[in-house]
Amino acid sequence: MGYYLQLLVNGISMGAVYAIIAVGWALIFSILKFSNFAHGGTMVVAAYGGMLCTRIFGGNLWLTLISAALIGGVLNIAVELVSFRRIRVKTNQLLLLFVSAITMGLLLQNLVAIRFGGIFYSYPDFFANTNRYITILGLSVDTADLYMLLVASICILALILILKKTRLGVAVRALSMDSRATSLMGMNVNLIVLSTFFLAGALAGVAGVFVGTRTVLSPTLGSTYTVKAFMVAVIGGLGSLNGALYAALMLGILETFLTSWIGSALQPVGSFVFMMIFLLLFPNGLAGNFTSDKA
Amino acid sequence: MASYYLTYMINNAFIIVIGMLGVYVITGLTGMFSMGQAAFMAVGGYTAAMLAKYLGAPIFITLPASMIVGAILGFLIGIPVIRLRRDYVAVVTLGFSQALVALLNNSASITGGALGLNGIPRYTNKTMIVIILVLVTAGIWQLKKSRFGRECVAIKVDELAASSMGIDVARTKLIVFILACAISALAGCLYVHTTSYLDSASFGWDQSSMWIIMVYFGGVSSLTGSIFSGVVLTMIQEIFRFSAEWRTVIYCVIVLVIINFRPQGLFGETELDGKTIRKLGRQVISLPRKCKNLISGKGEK
Repeated sequence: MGYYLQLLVNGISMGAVYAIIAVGWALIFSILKFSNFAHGGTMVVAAYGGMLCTRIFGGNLWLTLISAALIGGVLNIAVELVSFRRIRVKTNQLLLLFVSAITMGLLLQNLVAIRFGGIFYSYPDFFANTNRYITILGLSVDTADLYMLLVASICILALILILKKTRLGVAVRALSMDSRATSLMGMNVNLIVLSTFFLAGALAGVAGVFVGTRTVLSPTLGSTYTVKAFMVAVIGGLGSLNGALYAALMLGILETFLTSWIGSALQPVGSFVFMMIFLLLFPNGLAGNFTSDKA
Repeated sequence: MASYYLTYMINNAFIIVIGMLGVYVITGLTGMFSMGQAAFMAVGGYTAAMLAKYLGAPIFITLPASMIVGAILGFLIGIPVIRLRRDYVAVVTLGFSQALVALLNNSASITGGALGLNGIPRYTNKTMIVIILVLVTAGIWQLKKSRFGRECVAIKVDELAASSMGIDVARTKLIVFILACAISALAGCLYVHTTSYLDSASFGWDQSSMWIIMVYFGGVSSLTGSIFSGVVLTMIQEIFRFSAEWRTVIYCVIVLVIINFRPQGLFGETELDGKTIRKLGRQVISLPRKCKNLISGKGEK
């Protein structure tokens, strides 16, 4: 019993990382209605950027997180300007945006591979001065996991506050319902899109730091986490933030349990079978029919 | 030197192009996205490799067998998602490719795992690959011109309008999906009999997304454009072979420029058929006269 509870705790902290990536993904999907395959690329660049920043700041977790978030946000703005802006304004074909995003993701990942490939980099130990494990109710929890859960919750709460309480949030939600009506109401659509990309990129940057602290940094993390975020977003219901959140926790827990049962090598097979069954039962994902092709 | 590039082009680029034609059929005809098309190439490759290596089957058995296995898997994957939005097709094929690679790596006793299978009989030669490429291209060309092909294009442009015109959208999409999987499996079979070696690493989603990029580069509505860009981009990779990363970076930059500034792709809707060639010919012939007019100030205006 204790073992399974332990797995559950690990799964939740794993899911928290997926959640911050997938929420950013869902945010962009909700306003532009396409899957941003460059998201993993942004994450991996921000992760390496954060790693370089630790050389300046030393082992300060919070400064590293903030700088990685800024790098991710600014980079995502650049991604929007370079690969989406022109297509969005000129043609607005979703298929082209999709292809452009895939290309951009590959490009970012390979740029990282040129600069940092071949050598494995890792983050310094942020928790060298604290206890490695904290025991709560007989469960030993990794301190890094605990911090990760804390930061992820703060990020998501902040995002919810921004979306619900600020003018920007109202504008983003309006844009996700109808972009034409939004621009007719006198809002600067391009500016809203840019700020959304900044928010999503900042979340990806935070996720990048935690992915980096969990494992060794490698350029292929970009495509790995792109795949995960896409799966989470689809299971959650495309474009739904709540759905993405629950689906991320679900996938994190599922993967942890599958890894303990059938081994980490066969775990993708189990995840795939789960996803197929899930889509057969709930074709619209957890959140129901959030986006559908309009009649 | 020239003969080296010719051999390379036929043995590698043409086989990749056959696999990519599977993506063309899915994306170019119906507008669906398959992010795991390379996995179907792996399915065809492993089917052929195991039949030839363990049972000593000749090519006229391995070729149809790999296509049939590819088609059956395509049917099983396609059924649950074909009625849903495009993104669902993409995610399920993506998940399938991940799962397949994991499965291949973990059944090392049969598939060789990450080390791969070698010593597979070489059955193909250059003529055969060229003939098969021409046959597949001709088949897709005919399909595109047929009633079924026009139904597919209608679905790509507007699914709702197509179904209100009496087109069975789900059925058409499923048939196209199965066909595409069979074509990619065929490419896998040719690949394995050409290189006589097979491992699971080269069939991830990077390869599949590369194929999507190739199709869009040449023009998603143009079959000849897709083939042209497939050959050209594969050859670019060969020229920049000194570094895999630089190669992909250059490739991505070219594609981003094309997508931004010529969104319909290099060829647009134009097919490189007799009509276009005659038109081009006329323009080339009239070029000297135009130049003369320009110089003497008697412009068209």
